[in-house]
Amino acid sequence: MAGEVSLNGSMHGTHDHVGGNYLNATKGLKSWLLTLDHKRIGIMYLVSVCIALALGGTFALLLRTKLLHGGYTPEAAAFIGSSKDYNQWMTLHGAVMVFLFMIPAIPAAFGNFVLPMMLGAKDVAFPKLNLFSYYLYFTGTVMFLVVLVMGGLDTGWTMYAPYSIVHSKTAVPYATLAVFILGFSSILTGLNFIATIHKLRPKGMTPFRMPLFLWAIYATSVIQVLATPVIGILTFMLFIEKIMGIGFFNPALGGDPLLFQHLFWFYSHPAVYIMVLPAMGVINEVIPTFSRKPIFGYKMMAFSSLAIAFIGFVVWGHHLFVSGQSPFANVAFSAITLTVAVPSAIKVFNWVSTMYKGDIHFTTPMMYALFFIYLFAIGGLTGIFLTALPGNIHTHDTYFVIAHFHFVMVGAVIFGFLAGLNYWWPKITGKLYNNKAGVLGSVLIFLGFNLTFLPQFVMGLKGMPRRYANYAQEFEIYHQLSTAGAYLLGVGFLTVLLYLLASLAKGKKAPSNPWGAASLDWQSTSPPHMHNFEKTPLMGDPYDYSLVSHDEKTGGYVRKPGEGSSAHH
Amino acid sequence: MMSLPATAMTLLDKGGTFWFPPSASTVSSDVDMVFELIFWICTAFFIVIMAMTIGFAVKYRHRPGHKSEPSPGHSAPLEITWSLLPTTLLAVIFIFATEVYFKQITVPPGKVYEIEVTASQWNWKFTYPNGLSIDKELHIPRDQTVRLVMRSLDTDVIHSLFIPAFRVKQDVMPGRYATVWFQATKSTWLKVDGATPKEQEDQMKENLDRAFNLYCTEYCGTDHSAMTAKVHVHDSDFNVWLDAAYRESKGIGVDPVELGRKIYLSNCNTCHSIDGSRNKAPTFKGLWDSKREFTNAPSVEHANEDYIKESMEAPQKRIVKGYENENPMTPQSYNDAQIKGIIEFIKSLK
Repeated sequence: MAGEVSLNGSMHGTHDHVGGNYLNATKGLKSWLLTLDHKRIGIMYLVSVCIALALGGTFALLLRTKLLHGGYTPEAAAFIGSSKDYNQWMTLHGAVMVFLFMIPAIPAAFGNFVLPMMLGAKDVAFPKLNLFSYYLYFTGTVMFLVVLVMGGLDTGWTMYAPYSIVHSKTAVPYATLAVFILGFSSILTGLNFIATIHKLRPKGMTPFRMPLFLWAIYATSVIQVLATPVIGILTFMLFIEKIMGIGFFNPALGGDPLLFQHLFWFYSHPAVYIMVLPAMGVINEVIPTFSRKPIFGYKMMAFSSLAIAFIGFVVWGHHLFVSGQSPFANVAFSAITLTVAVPSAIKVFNWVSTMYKGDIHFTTPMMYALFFIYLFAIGGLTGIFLTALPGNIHTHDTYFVIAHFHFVMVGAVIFGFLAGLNYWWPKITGKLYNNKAGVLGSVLIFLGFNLTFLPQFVMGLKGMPRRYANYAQEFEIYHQLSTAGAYLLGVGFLTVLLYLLASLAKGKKAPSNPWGAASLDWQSTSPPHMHNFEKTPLMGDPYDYSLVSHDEKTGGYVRKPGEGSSAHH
Repeated sequence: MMSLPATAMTLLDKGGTFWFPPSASTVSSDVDMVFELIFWICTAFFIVIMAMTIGFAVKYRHRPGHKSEPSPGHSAPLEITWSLLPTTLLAVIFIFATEVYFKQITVPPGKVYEIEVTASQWNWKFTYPNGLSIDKELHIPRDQTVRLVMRSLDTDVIHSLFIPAFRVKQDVMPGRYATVWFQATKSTWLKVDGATPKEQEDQMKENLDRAFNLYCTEYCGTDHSAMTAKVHVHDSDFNVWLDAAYRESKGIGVDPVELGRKIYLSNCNTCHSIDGSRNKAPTFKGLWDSKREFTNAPSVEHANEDYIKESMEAPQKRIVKGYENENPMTPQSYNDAQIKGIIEFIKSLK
């Protein structure tokens, strides 16, 4: 593929050739909306998922505000008003965050932008399919906005039957259709990435010489292709049951509500890893780069990603421990689920060991990566309480679960996403941002996150059920701490937005490789040329930082010439 | 925000610990032991991970003159250690936890007291062997195995019964029976034998304070968070209470006004006042025989027995002016004696 670059003539273009980068090579709205360039599609995803994050975050702030006061008293009832508002916000917060932000955030935005560049390739394997995937995502997102207008959604993001089918008077059919369409976007993106990694690797880049981000995206893509069809089938069944009254899940029609839960979690548990694995992939790049050390235990990192992906398929039953599922199944699912802890532990220890004898730079992406280790440790370890059956029975459907999955899944995605955003920002935009503001933003988000979710562990253990618009007085203090944390989290996100906007407006020009990273994506100009590389990039170990040296002139790093072969495809 | 001493009191919570709600069943301390085991193993791991992370971050921080040094890219002994050590500890946790789980699901041999539970949007109805049915209040004897046989109607949704103090939880699927058992180890109920209504009211309040919470933990629609109940654990007086409650429910040997007052105190007083003050719903004081104006029906000159009965059974039918924006009352099933009790109670509030 890199050979094709020279066919376009760009290879002979002058260095820093103005007009040649992907942002200004062509102009006009149409050049964006119909682009086949993976970088522009990545940007369209990036903007879309950020809007989804803002929307989901707004619902979070609304519902946390509603939970400021509780107690089954007339005063609390007057403050809360109709619990319908809370039920809507709680549902929409979950659904928007899961389907519109967390699942596409890292793979679709950064996967699209970075994956071909890490391979030294010109684009993904199927650029038109890639654009089609984006428009499926766009359509699904619009469908969700239709849901907001058509009466909202009050089923919880899980949309359990029979409530969603028989009782909810909200826009359930639109929501299921949206999830159905979004699922196809996810499947096609996964397919595209699998093909790209298999077919567009340059000669000499064996699977074990790929950056680990690609392993993570690969493992994610496999799950997307294999698991997503199940939620497609489920939403389709729900849709036709709702429309045509065919009794799959409604017991009044001879259906079984438990079937819904099995199908739902057969997708939605692997979906947790669709969200987490790419975040781990980002951390795999950030920690070595800013420690100036190769990743510790490369092969174990690659295999643990695959192990997590595959084990993730056979643990869905742990969501059904109190559903009436057989005790034998419960014990089996408990045992299998515990094994996920092993590859997770390997990852954590390997990240930490990478820093050993390193030269650690506290840049904004590295701050997020360090916080990520803390969050993932707490999130992962609290998972053990939930996997042990007695612990699960007590904490199931309480705030303990909410706190756990916000730490392990949401924390991972948010901190992985922000690490990636701050890491690749100079590459994507060609601009540097203020690192002090970046570190401040990361600290605010970290503090806000802890204040929001640590009290939820305690109140959950004490018995506070999830999805409650009102609650017993004894939980009020924990809710108030949590709400204060949510506001702080909001301030943190605003800080990030402000310094990134400032960077766009008046940021210093970014060098090609501001961080001294060794993977191929950093051998392009910042922002990259429309065909990614002006010169065929030089291959090398993606974590060998002796291949780059600091360049006083640009303030960035340059690849040492003559080491490694060209990345020919 | 609450004042600081009050906050500290809440955090310490009478009857529970910093982490846990009160522990009041034969399995709850076993469950807490599983928690403690996992907690200390996890804490040890967490400390190691954080100490390494912070230690390395400080020791190897970038500064003038500092450079990274080569070290092995991987280490088989290390990687085997941090694969096998967690595996071993997880196995220990699994064995210990599963043993407790089997204890949790095995009904102990001996006499079992069964109570029928009907979960519906948004009510818990408990029916005792003598036919007595009570909404949102579960009364059980202490030190006896109680088995709840639970159902939700085919036309209803999934609910889940959760009693934190007993560490039990069980989903109730529409269209099939679900069961759960427990044996309470602590009683909460104090006899209501005050000489005056005021004393009785205080005693009932105290009983409510002491009772354990019961929650619905499967999202079931609009008033999911109001689908709660109280669990009262009786000492040796359980059968005495059950008999009296049964006779009371049938109106045998009780003053209807007193019966009405009791129902009022447990079911109505969060929304209806009896002193004329404005609350979420119209006051009971002076209601009898008064003129009622509605938003959705012609007004009535004299509120009578039929009106009160209808308000209890179908509160939506006629909505009193000025209360149209309040949450509608959840209708509950009352028997004739109870309806008569409420009517007589309201009559007495001139």
